[in-house]
Amino acid sequence: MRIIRSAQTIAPFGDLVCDLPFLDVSFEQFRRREVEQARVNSNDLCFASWAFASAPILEAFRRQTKPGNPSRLSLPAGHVSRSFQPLSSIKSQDEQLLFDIFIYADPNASLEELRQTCTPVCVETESKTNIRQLPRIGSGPSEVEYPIDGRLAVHLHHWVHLLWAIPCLVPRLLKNARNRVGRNVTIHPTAYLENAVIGDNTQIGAGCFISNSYIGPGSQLFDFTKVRHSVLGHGTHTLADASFSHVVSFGGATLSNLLLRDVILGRNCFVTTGVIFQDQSIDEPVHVLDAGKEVNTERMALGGCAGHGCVLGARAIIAPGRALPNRTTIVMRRAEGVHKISPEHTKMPVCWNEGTLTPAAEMLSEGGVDEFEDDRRLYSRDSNPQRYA
Amino acid sequence: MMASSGRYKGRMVVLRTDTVITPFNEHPRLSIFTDQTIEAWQHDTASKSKLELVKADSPEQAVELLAECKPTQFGVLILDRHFITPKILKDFIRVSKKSDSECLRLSLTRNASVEYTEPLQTLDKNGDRIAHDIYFFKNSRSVLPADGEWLSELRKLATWIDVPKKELVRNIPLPTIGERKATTMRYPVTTSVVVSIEHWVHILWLNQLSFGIRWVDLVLRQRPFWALFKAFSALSFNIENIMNRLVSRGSGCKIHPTAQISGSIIGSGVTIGPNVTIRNSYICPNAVIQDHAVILNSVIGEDALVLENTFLVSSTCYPESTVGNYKLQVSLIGRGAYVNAWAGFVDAKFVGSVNVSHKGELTSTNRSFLGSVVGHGAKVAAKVLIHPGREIPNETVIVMRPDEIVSVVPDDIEPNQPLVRHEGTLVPLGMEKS
Repeated sequence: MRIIRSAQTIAPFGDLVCDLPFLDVSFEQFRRREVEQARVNSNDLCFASWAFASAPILEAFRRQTKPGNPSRLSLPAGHVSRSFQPLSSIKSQDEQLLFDIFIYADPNASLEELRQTCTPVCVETESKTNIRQLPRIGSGPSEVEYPIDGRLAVHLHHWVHLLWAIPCLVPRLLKNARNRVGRNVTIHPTAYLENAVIGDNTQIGAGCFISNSYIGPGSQLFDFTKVRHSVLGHGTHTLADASFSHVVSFGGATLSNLLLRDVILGRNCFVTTGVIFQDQSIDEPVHVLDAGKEVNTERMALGGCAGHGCVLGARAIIAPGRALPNRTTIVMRRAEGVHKISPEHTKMPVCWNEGTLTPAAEMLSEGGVDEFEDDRRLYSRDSNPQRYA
Repeated sequence: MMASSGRYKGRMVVLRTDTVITPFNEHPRLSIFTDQTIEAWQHDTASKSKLELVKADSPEQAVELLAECKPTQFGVLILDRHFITPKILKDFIRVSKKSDSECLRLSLTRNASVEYTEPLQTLDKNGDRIAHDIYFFKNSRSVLPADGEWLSELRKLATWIDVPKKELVRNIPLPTIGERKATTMRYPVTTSVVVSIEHWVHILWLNQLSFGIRWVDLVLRQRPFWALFKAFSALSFNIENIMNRLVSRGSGCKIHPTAQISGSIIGSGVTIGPNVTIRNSYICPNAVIQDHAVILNSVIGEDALVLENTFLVSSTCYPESTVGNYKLQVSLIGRGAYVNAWAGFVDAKFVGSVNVSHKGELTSTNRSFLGSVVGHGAKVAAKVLIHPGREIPNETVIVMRPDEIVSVVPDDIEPNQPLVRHEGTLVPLGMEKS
């Protein structure tokens, strides 16, 4: 198998695409495993470093190509194949999408030469898909179709491709089983698994609900964690009632978010409950930065990205499609925390203001509606001020 | 207006009013009750009671239409903002026929179902009794001639007649705030309900009663044998087990096996995801309920979308709305409106009752637990807190304050340096003050 190497890294992680974690192994190893499973002579195939296709597609590609004929993988431009296209170098031509995956190609030719000399072979495969409903607001599509049988070809250039592609590959590890559970795994009897892959030495607490997801080895999911269409890498810890939907985490993370949706996290991230990645756009599809430019992702639902080792605390709210660099640490603004609490504050309704507590009625400007009048009257009548002291 | 035909027992005249429900800016006849508008509900009620429904634009026209009734037929006058169930209409007609008076007015003794929707309604009160603007005329001769003050004359002259009704009352404990006595709310389960819809709170409260009006009606009156069979098939005397069986599902529903549904009505073509809990609710056709959502005592409109992890309690969503709120209680969401996961609708007041705007003034609702209303097509897409009882007008878009959301991530971030949000970007801790 020939890989045409490039020095392309994926921002904000800064890793070469081949080294990035891909479910249980690295991307390089995952691709090699798919080629081995595809019953294709691996010497015939040639990939650009960012190109990926799962085994059923490679096998169909080999079957539908005349032996010895230099050919390029192409798929009919349907909803599913097209949904991975934004921001990537997948080329559309005559209702087909051309990938940088070649067979029987000249082993010494450059990528550009291969693209020009190889004839596209349109591989027809039947794929099972699922439709995800999105809010019907704004100008973008209100649903996304994604494959549920692991039949997928994609170019990985940007973090959004990792976020979209990796959870769709969980069925490749399941291999038609309902669930795959590793060794030394503790699962509480009330937990529910559906199309889940659980790595070794994992603990799954009471009331957990894991569907269509991969949980890496050595993870600990605390009670009532809900994981849906997500990939949580090795050694992930979740706190009670955390919930993940369409999330990719590379491992070692500690996560306690009430709802994390369409977000990708690097290695060893820490995300507290109050952190919000806004994940839905209300007017136009979400734009992300690609090589310094804003590019349309053609999706109405897209959260954000946090690099390796990010520590996100306080009430950090991140706009859709933003990527935080490696080791970003966000803390609370001093003015938002309440640092000083004086005993006088117990006799009236108070609210936070510049690091302390201020009577709520004082915060209103002239003409505002004082909804706290009743409360003030009650508390001022209180004959026993010691009660609250 | 066609002359009344023989198959009708009487004629129901619906008198037009110019009530407008804010913030929707629409007439109450377009308000929804479960899967129908109030207008459609009035038509159904009339046909179930074998009455011919005719509309009148003015009192004069109403008098004309009532006078056209055949001698053997009776007349019923209601306003177009009235919600009335077939059960109470039938009972009203039954007791009115027995009475000696010619012109009768529907009155009710105050009980849980009356008290539930009473605030802000225009009602005449007399001690323990309340009267709605719903009248019964024995025959065409008993109708007063029309003049300018026809309706107020009628209010004075008509004899109040008490309509008997049955109800089950469930006492629902309310949260206790501070060192006060625990309080409960009396939730009525009944099919005898009359509401004059004059404010958005009435739409919300009426839909909260849909468990009694629709589900109980289905189980006791429309499909009693089905209900009996289902109840026996639970093989248990535990009421919860029986309720789990008494779920009406429409055709073409996609319901995940882990979803828990009890005591509800599910329309046709509804999609319900894994681990969803639905209790005592009405889900209209083609709604989509995504994974782990919890819907308690709510109404979800046609084609509405409930996003993952949404927790809805006693709320009503108009058709085509999208709700993603982590917790949304006692609120009303307009047609095509969107509420994002982090919008907080405060639904309780520590002291006193929630005030709402009614006829230009803040008016008490006598409830300490009430959320807000989101107008048609409005989008609440921010982490905001809305005070109880507030109206978000139609087509409003609420977004994050640009200085509160991180929308620009600086290129030159030092690894592991503590950063804080400042004017839409991130700056090192301490720099936000300058």
